[in-house]
Amino acid sequence: MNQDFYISLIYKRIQHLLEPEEEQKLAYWLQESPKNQALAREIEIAWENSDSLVLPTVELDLEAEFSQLLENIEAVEEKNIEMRPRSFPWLRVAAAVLVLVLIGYSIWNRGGGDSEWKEIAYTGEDKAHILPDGSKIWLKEGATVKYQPSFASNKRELELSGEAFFDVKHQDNTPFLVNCTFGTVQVLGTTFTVNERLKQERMEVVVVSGRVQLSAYETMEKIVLEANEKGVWNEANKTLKHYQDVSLNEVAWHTKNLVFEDTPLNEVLETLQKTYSIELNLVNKALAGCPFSLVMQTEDPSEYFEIFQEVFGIEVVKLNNQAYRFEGGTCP
Amino acid sequence: MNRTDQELLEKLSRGDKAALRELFDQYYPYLVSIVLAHTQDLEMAKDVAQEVFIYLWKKREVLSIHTGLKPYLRKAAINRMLNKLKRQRFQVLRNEEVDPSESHFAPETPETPETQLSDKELGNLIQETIDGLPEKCKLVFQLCRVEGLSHKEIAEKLGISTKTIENQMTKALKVLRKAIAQYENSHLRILLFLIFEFI
Repeated sequence: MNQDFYISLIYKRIQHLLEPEEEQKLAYWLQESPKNQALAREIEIAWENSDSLVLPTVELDLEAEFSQLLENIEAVEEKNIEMRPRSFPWLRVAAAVLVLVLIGYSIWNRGGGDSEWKEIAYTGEDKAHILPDGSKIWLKEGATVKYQPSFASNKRELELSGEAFFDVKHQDNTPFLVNCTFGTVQVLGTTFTVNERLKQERMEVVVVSGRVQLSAYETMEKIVLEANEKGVWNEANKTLKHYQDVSLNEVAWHTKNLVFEDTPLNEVLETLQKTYSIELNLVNKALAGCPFSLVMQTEDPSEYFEIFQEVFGIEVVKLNNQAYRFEGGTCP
Repeated sequence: MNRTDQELLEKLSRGDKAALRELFDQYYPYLVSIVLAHTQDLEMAKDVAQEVFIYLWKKREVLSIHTGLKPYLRKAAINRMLNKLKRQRFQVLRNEEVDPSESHFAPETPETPETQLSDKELGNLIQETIDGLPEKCKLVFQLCRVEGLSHKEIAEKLGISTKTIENQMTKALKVLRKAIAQYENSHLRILLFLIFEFI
């Protein structure tokens, strides 16, 4: 065996990459002569002393380089996507609730007089629908709400199928009610979402701000939910559960405002998938647990990808508009 | 992170261009040097440093940096550099990869007069030797040894095989070792010389 071979073994030993049989070969070789041992020692000295970089001195015209930077920034900002981080403009409203109700249309048969009902359905874009009382509602794909023409006169009552985000105008004497298949959400002044999942037979209410009362028809149970809380009705075992400290990321499909604080990357990706209805595949599983912190509000998920590229050195491969693959990268 | 950096980043997050300028003066030359130390390509080094600062500005409001700013920027620059190198297809190294004689290729040891050698610090000697390595060999060695990237990472980022990287590392160590052996020999000679003097 030539010397190069043993140098590569010595190197592998330093990097803990030696296979058992290689280790044996190296041991024999080292025993063969003190010359070999000296060579191994020299390699180690070389390794130990080679961990710094000689930084070449460069003459730079910083004035000119900085003007260049400002020009570059201007060029980038022209095509800029608006970002409003660390602010929750939608939190300043009186009340906001996310109600997720996925239970098909059986509900429409209650209360009769179907033809008179006004109906709002998801239109393919994330835009606010204004109710007669000035409250706003955002529907997620597949969601529909119905209300009677009398809405807002003496009571504000509507029926929901699917998932919707409500931003409710506060009115002291006129309660705001969202009726779903399994229960009713009464708004006590709030933003919230309701989510009813037909296949999973459950109903979820997430409160962003204010207070909401969730009542289950079946058991007549009632719980009051406050900001960052979630109530879940599970139809299968007829239970109503109350969760505290819910992540606001649950309502991000509407707000597009995500908060990550030392969140493992795989959870971050899961949240992004749900929020933007995209598919993300992390090739390097070693990154799954890497903590990631960011508060950002953007319509464009590729904003996140840019940051991943920067922070983790990940390479983003666009498979199509809805699917991306993340390759390589390291925990910073 | 040191206080000044923290303060500057805070100002930056509020859109303060004077803070950007201060950070620029402090770190731009550093980033250019870092990339230059790896690639010997001044244009690329400037592009990379510019991009890092554009990014810093663009994301000023959302950026949360937990490590020091300096290592963060360095890492960002290295990653951008690697992306660029990959895009350039890293032609030379790929060519070496398909060359069967590659693993036997022994680069020349930089010629240094022995009289000078004995005066030099070991560290200097090693750094000079690294500097004299073939470009790609030097890049791979430094990425691994100085930037702390694993073989796998370098392989993925540059689109070459881990076997090639192992070969490059061995090659670099072989040259370095030769330089050290020479250095030690010259020291030994001086020592012997001194002993003779005393006798």
